Amino acid sequence: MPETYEPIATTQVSLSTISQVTFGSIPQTYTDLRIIGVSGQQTAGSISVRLNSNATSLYSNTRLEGDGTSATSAQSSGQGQWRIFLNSTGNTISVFSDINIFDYTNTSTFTTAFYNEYKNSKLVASVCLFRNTSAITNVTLDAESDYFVPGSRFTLYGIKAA
Amino acid sequence: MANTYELISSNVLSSSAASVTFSSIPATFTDLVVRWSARSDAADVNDYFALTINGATTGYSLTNLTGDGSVPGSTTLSSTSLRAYGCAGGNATANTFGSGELYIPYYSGSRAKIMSNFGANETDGAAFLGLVANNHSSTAVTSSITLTILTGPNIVSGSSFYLYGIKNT
Repeated sequence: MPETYEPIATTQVSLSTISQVTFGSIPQTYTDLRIIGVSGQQTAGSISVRLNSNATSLYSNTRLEGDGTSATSAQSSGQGQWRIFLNSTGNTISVFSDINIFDYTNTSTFTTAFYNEYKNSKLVASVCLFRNTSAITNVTLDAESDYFVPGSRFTLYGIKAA
Repeated sequence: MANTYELISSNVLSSSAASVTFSSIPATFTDLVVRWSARSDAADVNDYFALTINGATTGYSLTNLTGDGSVPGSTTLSSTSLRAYGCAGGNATANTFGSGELYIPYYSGSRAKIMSNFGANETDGAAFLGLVANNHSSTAVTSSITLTILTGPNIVSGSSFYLYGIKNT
């Protein structure tokens, strides 16, 4: 019986000069994608998430945030990327990100995703849109400040609906 | 090819219990997922779990994000346990159980563990949902997980808990 939930690729950052993680040549044989990441940046910063290396203003995001004091909501539109907003604490691996990209091979619809981000002192839940109907063949994650902390790890899984 | 997402253990309560424990968890997976459907006998619409790892009572902190259909909130807590949402209380609509998931990535790695919980309880007129960023400073491999009802005193019969392992190769 074919696997329903399969690991496609894992990247573990081994050097201190890696600022980008790329999942390329994504097979078009699944229904949804999921990226599980545990990461940090050497200088605190967000992670940009881009699809098909597209950096044009086609990304939007609505999110719910909790910082231990208050719950807030915000929205970003016309962006050149989605963003994992939580900054790691110092030079440590302290952010857990769970990115779910739905129906990524569908060329009739824009691409939607939801992802949650967790760290010790804050969490964010986001729903996202990429206003392009191309099938998703690669996903890049860029450390916006400088470099990923060695030991940061991202795994791409494929989920089949049949 | 070996299964990526495997059931390690299940516990469907045939009688009330104050807690559920998954122990002797093999260290052969990459991530752990616990999923449940639960109800307690608390004199309340909602209940929650205290979550402990490897029986530890120190090194825990968390931040949550909650909503009850009226008021959103977020708090931070350092305690002798973590928190997991997703349990209906004894005053919830009959036959209603809450649902929840706990995700522990890279549970066998030698660093502090950050784990997520999403849980919800919707009872047609009263609701609660919550996300939690749970942090355990211990660098030990996660070998046991215990969910203890916070208000209770018990989790009722019919509540079900499932532990899954996910492999990234």
